[in-house]
Amino acid sequence: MTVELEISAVTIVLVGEFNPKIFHPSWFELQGVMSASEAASVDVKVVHPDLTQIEFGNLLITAERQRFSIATSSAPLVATIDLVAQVFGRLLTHTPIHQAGINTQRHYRLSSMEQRHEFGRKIAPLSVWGKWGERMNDKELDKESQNGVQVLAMREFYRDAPWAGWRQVKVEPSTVVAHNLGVFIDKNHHIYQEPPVKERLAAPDLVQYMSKCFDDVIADSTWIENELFKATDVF
Amino acid sequence: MLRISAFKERQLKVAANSEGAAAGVANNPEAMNIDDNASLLLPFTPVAPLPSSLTAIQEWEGYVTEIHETSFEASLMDVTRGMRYETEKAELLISDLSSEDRERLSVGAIFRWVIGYQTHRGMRQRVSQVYFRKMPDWSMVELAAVSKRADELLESLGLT
Repeated sequence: MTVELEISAVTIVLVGEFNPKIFHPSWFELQGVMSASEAASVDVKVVHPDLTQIEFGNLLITAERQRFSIATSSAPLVATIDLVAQVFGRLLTHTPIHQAGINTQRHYRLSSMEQRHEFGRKIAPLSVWGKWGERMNDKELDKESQNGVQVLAMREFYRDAPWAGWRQVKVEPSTVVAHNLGVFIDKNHHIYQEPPVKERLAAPDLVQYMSKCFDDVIADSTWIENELFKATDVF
Repeated sequence: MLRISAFKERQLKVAANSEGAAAGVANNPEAMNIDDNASLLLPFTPVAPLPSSLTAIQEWEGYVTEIHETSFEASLMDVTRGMRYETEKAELLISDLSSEDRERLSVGAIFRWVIGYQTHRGMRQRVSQVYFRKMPDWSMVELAAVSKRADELLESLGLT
């Protein structure tokens, strides 16, 4: 195999109406989401009516008035959806949540800079850009300057009543993997209530759906990435 | 009054969408020399990098079937292969669990067992980790929701 997964992360994002200042470790402990020792080990970055950010083990929790997110780059990634399920499925069940996303971020290492260059040429051929493409393909210029695709995004819509949304995959060079060997793939699995919305479903309904489909969403990211690498002969 | 730094002010202005990036693993647009307009379209990046990462090579979901003095037995479902039912059994050491997870150890408890590569400050090693899942009892949540809807319906019909 000529491609290796270096870092795999997930971020769950909820868009709605939140009260950031309540997400203090003492609240999590009081509600039974954290033990006393876990709450004591939390790194509190900021707690404010407009923004709270805390680091709990390998989880980074950020709450703003209209956005709540939880992220981790440490397996098992289900720890994120478990905490979301506890908070919004059991405790803050009246929280208005309008949209959500289960997003994966992966950094892959290819075997050589030439291979990554070739990968970029296959997903975004210079031939479709006419004379500009020819100019970018000038070997003397390209040697140093990494001409070509910087960001490529593809979106697929889906419907899973009463929910709907899209999968959007973005591919770009990785700035984490050194020596220009990396490819970064960011997938946004977006979820909202399928219109027309006659009665807004409650937070527990959305969170339960997210819990049930979480593993499938993660597996879907892997499948799409494998398909991409197979089709571009990276594998 | 808490003073919010200029960096945090930028965070507060992030567009309300569902895209997001985990701290420490997001691509940094400034490092890529993308122009300022393009960088505003990239996902929001939280403040601090995470201390390490654990990338799974193999992951199982299991439930505890029996507990012994120093070990416990479990039925396992291969999550990596996308299995939907248990096909394997294993015996794991209680000494491998954290103190919090030892308190969560009980027959029927659901956990994830991960084998993967842990990267910390540039160093990489293969590790095995067990995490006991903390999930709400969805049957109780559903019962509460149905009860609430029933109350609302009765109220709308003037029967309460």
